[in-house]
Amino acid sequence: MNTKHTLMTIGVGIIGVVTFAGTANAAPVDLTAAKAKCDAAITERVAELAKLTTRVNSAKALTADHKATVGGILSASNSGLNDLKAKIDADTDAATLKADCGQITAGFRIYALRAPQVRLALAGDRQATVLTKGTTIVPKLEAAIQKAATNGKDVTDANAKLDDLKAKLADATTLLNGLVDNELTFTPEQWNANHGVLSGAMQSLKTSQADLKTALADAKAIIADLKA
Amino acid sequence: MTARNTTRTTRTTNRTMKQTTMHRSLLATAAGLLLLAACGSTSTSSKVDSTTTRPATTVVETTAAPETSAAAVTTVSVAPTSAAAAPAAPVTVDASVDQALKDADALLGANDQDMASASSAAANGG
Repeated sequence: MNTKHTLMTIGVGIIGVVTFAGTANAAPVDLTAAKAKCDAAITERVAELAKLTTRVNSAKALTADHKATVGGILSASNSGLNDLKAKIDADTDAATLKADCGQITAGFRIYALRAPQVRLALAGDRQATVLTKGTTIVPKLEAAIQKAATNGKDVTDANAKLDDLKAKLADATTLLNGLVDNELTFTPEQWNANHGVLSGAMQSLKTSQADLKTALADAKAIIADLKA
Repeated sequence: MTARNTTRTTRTTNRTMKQTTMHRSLLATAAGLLLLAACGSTSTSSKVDSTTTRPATTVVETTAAPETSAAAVTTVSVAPTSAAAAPAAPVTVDASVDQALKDADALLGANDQDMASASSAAANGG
């Protein structure tokens, strides 16, 4: 919703500036109206950054390092947008205003890059937490299976599920290795050159998410089997 | 007459005493046999207990026959080899595993939302 709204606002703002610039000799200049639209676009982004900051500060799964990195990105974006707003408010010609207003999107990419980066960092670190929990329960499941076997139970299925669980955890470990650190390095400039910079990280997270869900299902199946 | 009567009475008394003695002997013998029988029974039970091999598994415990005969000993010895046929005791998994799975489910559920939002935002640009 916000993204579409912002795009429309910026679009209208930029078109207004362009129209204004193109007809500078024929019509009166309305810098004030153009600046208001640019300021509104900045205000929306600053509000989005505040929401993201609140989420990051309260995120339990986010590691301290990632929290610091994300916090730095959000803080720098917030400062940059406020500085840009001050510059826009001080602009005195249409060409400069047009260029500055264009920087709201191209220079910061709050919706296209920064917000997804934060969400992917949250998702990646949550997965890392799940991975740790999964790794912790493996020896407990192994012990339970061994005990059941000693009692004379057929544990063929339970062992097969345990093998699959281990394989899925191993795959997720590989996929998550350095993923968040890497995806947080992308800049608005890189996104401008390649809109798919986050595609690889997203795909890896989707795969590891599926791996972890399967691992959890395996663990539940093992427990159900042993309790039967 | 009196002397003859006295002799007859004495003979009768002697016969009665002999019969009483026999009865007492029979009773003593019977009691002795019963005691021996009782001892023999106890001895047999002890022998079974000392020679019975009790497997540690619950499967054996539930299928074992009373340990008072040779047949019971055989059943207990064979039971472990046919354990698959009997239901195995359920195993209790560490309670912390259930909690870890619940926590993991919640974390992955939150991820679904964030990953969907990240995908749509990246696609929209801005």
